[in-house]
Amino acid sequence: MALKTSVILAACFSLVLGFDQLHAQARQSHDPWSPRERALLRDLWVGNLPVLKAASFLSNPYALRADAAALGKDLFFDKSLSRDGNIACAECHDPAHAFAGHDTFLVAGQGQRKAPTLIGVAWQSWFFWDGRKDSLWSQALAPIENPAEFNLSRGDWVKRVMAKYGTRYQAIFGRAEPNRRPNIEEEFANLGKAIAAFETTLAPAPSEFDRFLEHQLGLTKNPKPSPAESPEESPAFGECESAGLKIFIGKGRCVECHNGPRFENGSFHNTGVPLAGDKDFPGGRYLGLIQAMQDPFNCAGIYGARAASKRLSDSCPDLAAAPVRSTLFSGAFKTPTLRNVGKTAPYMHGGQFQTLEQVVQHYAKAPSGPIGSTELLPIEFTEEEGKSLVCFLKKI
Amino acid sequence: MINLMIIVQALPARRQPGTSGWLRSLLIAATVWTRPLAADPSEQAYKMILRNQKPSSEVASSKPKRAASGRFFQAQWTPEAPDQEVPMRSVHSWSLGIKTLASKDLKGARVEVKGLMPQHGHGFATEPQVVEVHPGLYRIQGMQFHMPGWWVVRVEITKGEETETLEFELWL
Repeated sequence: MALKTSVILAACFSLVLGFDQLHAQARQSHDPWSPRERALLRDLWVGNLPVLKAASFLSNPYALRADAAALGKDLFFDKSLSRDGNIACAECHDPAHAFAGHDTFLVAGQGQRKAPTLIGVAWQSWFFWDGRKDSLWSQALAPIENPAEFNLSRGDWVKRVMAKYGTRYQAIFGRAEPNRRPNIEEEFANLGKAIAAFETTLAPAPSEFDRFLEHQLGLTKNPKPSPAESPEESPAFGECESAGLKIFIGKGRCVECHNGPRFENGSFHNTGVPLAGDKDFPGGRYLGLIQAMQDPFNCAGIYGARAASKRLSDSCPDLAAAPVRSTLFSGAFKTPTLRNVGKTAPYMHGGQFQTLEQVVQHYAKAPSGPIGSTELLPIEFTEEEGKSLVCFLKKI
Repeated sequence: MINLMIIVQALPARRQPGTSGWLRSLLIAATVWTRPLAADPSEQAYKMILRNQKPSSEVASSKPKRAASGRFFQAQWTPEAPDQEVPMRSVHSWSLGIKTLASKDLKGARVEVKGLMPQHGHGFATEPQVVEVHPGLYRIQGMQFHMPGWWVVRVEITKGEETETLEFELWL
């Protein structure tokens, strides 16, 4: 009798186990993502952004200080610090436009340029479309002296700032030693560091795409793998978006450059983008790097991270490794983050395209550009595939 | 000056008159002077050769091999990262131990490192520098893998008359 019961129980167990296996196989066969696609997707998740530490900002010890960020925020929005009292950083980096520009403006020696989004900028290594700045604080200084922007000399700007915010400046950066003349360059650099401290607080919030990924791959901050759930459970991310995502990491090859949690790779590429009007000079990264190397406010400079280590490769690894005069960089511009890309038109370094549809068309055609050689290869998209890609981009 | 005029005239007309100040002309001249902006034909040929290469069959499915040996030397690499894994995107360093085939540390070798993405026809966007930190132990600074996919790291080792290139494949 006992034997009979055991046999029946064993048979039931095998049946249950068998069902479980079948169920698991069925789940696997419905899994829309291959292991390779899953790896690429996991890399894109916002939760992968590394925690910001002081060691990430060797040239700006104030980057994570709340008092510096508060001063920086006031400077960022204060129009009275420009020559005509009509411009602030927030004019071109509009908080209502994901801290990006609505339009383009003229930069001497460059042409028309579009201000990119600042959201997530703390995780970036090179600044401006041509990477002519190697730190966020140093970038923040350039618009002050651009005639089309603040249109002030650094001395005049520092005087204006000190008249209004001098006490707060001294509380953060210290008082100048008595009998020592104020050092305009040092104060200028420090104010850039305060603005950068504010910009460092602009971290990307999880997007609808991130929520979709969390559902699909069971991602959480404390990873607990959970079964793949159906896309219907993320209503904001429907069939069009899922199809677009497949193209983004597959046929479209977008993920080759737009990878990682910021959808950018910290590098520069020639993608054959047309000239931005007749004043454009698309020297790109080729010239930008030469300028970064010569910049007195770069990482290796007196206000940079020189004191952090004797070896440039330790204190300024990006600058030390940058290949000056590489033909790869002729006409190459920075891979921009795609987070919030649905809100940051116009697109490309000179605002060449007004819509994401135009951007997709450009990548499909892969025309040769005005300078150097494009890295793109043509891709044939059906009308529906192009639409799907745009659907997806708007959810990042 | 003649060279400058030739350069400016050689550029397409739509990028020229009436729009450029002296600064722009200077930048154009500086760029063109130091390096031709148009792609070099030999570079194009090299890209084509690279594009025709294929990854080894196991590279996509297994962990990258971190050690290799050739006719003269053997080498082993480790990324200088807390988890000793290759980080995506960030500029980092590798430790590279080089020995002779008789397992003696190779001191004072000249080591050059290149990273290639054969299917893309290009490689690193950085220029790694190599320093010998201990006899036979070299530090490769400025490694950066900025794209997912198949990479080949080519390590050229020269000591005296002996020179060879060891290759390491990675699938990131």
